[in-house]
Amino acid sequence: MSRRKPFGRAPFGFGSLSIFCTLLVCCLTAFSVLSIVSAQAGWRLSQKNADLVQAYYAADGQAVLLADQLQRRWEGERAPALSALEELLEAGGAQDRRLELREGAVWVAFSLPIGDGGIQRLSVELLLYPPGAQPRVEPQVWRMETDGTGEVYDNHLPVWPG
Amino acid sequence: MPSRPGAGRRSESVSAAAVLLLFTLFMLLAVGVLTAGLSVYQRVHGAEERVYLQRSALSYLANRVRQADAQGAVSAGRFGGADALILRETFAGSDTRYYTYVYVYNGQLRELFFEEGVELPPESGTVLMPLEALSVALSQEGLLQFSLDYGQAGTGALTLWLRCRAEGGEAP
Amino acid sequence: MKRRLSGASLMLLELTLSALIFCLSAAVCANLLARSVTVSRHSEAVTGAVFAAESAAEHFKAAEDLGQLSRALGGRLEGAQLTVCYDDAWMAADEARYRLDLLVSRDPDSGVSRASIRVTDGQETLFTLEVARTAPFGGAS
Repeated sequence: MSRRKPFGRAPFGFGSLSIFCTLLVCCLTAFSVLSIVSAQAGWRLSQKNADLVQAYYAADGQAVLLADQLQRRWEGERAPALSALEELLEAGGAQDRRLELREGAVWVAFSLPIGDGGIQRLSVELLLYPPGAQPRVEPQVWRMETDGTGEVYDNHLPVWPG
Repeated sequence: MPSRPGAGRRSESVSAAAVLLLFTLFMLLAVGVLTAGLSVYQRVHGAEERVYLQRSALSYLANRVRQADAQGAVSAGRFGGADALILRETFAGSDTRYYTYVYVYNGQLRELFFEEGVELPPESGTVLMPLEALSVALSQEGLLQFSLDYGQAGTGALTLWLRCRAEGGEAP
Repeated sequence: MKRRLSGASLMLLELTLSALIFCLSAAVCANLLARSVTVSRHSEAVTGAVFAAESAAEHFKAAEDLGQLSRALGGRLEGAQLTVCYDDAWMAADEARYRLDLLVSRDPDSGVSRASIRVTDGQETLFTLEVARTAPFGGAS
């Protein structure tokens, strides 16, 4: 006697629907995961850009305040000592401080860190002119630098000179 | 009364047809959901690319100018038939001047670095990113205004103030 | 006699289970997709806000007084506060999709003038910026 199959014949193969459903779920999951990952990466970049801009303007504001204090000290006293100016810069958190007398004017240079990363800094150079000159304080350099700026990074391969 | 022999087979066919109909309906709806998900993904990805381009171009220009702000070092000019940002610098121990031109040529934002006196064609510049047009204007008050055309990604603008500027900034 | 299960019944069972699983995953994925659209829009708004605030800050550093600053940015002046409205493309407009508020204050102990810049989209603050300048900054002229 032949054994009867316990199940009847399906309209189409068993499992085809499951396979199709699995593919659909995989595709939908892939699209949604890629979307959220892409969006969050863009958000992180936007936040980082915003933080960098805020850090730059914070350092810029600090440099403006120091320049103002230097100008007031320069105009307030008669020929203040360079050491007094340097103390003022040190109290203001300035780094890489340099002061020189150049043709009757005082050249002041200092730098301020931008952000907490320690990679970027704001490098400022000012000329303080003697009484009677206009302007009294003139910025020469006010630029953003990255540590290592000024060094020549030579990444060329050594070539046999022949 | 015994049932007719064909009745069982007929009912099975009806059931199978109903299941097939349901299956087709499910497939259509599922594919519709998948298509909607795909369009959302494309929209998000397109928006991210657009924002990335805008942010990169404006950040690059701002940082370039801030890295060069010194007496007479930053100016606006023309190169390759379009506006250009011109940066001048010298290196310690040398009187030689070097220029960096930032401009748009053939739909690309480019940067060209060369020694004073050297003449180079606009296609020599290093390609940075795609950009349709860049306009650069420097006012007497020292305001450097950039207007960017990203093409399909829209437009952008940025203004920077040059703190250190000499009267009549030089350009080669 | 043992009842024989029809193929259609099993197919229906498989269809039901597949539909259930698909619906659950579609609900989760739809949530992720909706969130990605929100995050993307917010990221775009913050990026535009940063550069609008930056331009306003640079204009503040260059202008001589609030009146000149207002004319340069195309905003509305109320006392020591300047308000500029932007559209979707971050161009100055009358309809306020985004709003930039710039409040000027003077440090009495020094010659430093400060501006507090805040960019909002009507519901939340997108970006804030503090900027300072040394030259005297007057009121509206």
